[in-house]
Amino acid sequence: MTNSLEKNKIWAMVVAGLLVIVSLIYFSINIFYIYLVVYIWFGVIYGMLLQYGRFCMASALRDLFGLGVTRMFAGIMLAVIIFSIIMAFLETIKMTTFHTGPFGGFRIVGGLIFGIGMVMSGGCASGTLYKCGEGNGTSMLALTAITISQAVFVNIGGYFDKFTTIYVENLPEYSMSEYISTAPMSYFIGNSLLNTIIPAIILLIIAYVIWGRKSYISNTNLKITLSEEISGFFQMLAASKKTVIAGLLIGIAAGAHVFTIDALRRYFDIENFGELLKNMGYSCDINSNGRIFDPGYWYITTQEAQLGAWFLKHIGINTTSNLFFNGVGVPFPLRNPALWMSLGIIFGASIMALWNNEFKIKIPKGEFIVWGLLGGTLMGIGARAGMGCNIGAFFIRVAGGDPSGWLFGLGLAIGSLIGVKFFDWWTTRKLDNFDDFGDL
Amino acid sequence: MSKVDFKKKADGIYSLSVIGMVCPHPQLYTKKAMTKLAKDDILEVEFDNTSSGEAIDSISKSVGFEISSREKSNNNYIWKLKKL
Repeated sequence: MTNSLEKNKIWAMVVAGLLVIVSLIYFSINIFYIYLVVYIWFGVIYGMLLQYGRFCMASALRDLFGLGVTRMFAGIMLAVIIFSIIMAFLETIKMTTFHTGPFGGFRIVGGLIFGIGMVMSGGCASGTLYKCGEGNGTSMLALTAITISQAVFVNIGGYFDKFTTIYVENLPEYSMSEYISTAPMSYFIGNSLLNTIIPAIILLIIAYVIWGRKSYISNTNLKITLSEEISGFFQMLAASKKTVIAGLLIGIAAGAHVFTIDALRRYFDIENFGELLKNMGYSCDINSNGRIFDPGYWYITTQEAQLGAWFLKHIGINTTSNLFFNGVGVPFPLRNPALWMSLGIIFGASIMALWNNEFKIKIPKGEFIVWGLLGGTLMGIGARAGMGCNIGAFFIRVAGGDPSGWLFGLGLAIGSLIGVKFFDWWTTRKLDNFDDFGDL
Repeated sequence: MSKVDFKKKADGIYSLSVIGMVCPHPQLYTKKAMTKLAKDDILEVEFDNTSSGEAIDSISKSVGFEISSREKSNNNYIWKLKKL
């Protein structure tokens, strides 16, 4: 075991070393690629932290509803609270890349479909990436399905174009800071406190009362004092050291990412990486407005859709003649900064998993092939129908003061509940032959 | 490889193998297998899905099990859970 541990640590350094070499190659081609390299390394940081803390939205809701385990739910809420405080600070000093998004029922529907998919495949959009980095084959199938299903879904019969022009584009957008006139505190009070911290604490209290309490209060039959309840609540929050550390650092990293991209845009005097691509002569990569998808913050699924469309196009299936791909562009994958962020997450998770001797190639078999592909397809459809995933439509939006994030979160919760009920039925059905303690 | 295998090894000792499975299956089967045990019985859970460990850890606390040993060999985890 010691030998394999040492060997894996060397492999972790090899992966990190290769990423350094890739970064240097980009620099040597053109200094503009520093923009893309920043995305790579923020991806690596996210990947390392996600793997370290086993950070996953699917785990948060599924284990809460299905098993009464509050650990991950508490971790996500903690991360979003920290990130919201940093975002409010960045908004105050006008160093942010965040934009509000449309507010409407489509967020709930998209979240619901995505929620069922993430429970089925065993990981959310970010969880799927970190699990790919651990060698999890089911997650690799899910990732493939997310990639292809999005590209196909937005191109079927022009329906997605109609959904965008007739419905989404006419929806209002909200930022909670607009309702708070006490500048300069409007971002802290509106976005962070009202949109994130108070709802997150309410949800944590609900999770504590329904699920967490019985684990942290030794005897719930006796009369319990308020201080015991408060102590139990904080024990729930701090139940997993790894989760708490990862949650805090993810919140900080996501804030640092926004700040760094904004600083780079100011440095190059651009609003979008498409301008740098054009400058380097890659007009083929950008859309008619000279742009590509360049969120400026943590994002997962859109770049995977771009990869899917690029791949399909190169095997003769064109899915790019629609509003979605006209907007985000279909750049060459190696010149797509957001896609490099997703790859960075996979590599970052690999580095951390190898370092801690937790890397294992697992080939999916039997029903897991179905769960991976079906779950990934549902996540892909849900991500497009809800305009984002657990990161882009929930985590970033909630912390940025955009209440539409909670709509997606509500959808995620309902979808997770459906997914949990399904798997509960499925595993119980398999267990019916199991009362004699024979094979399942 | 992904076969669930739940057996009675000896009096009061049960084994559950969920090798090859991914979330949420290992933790779901573990929780269900736990219900089959009596006081002081031991459940040996064998799994290779790292993130399931966190969930199994939490479930054990909440349903009155103690993790009496945690072993790891060839990236497979073998945890012994004792019903209190």
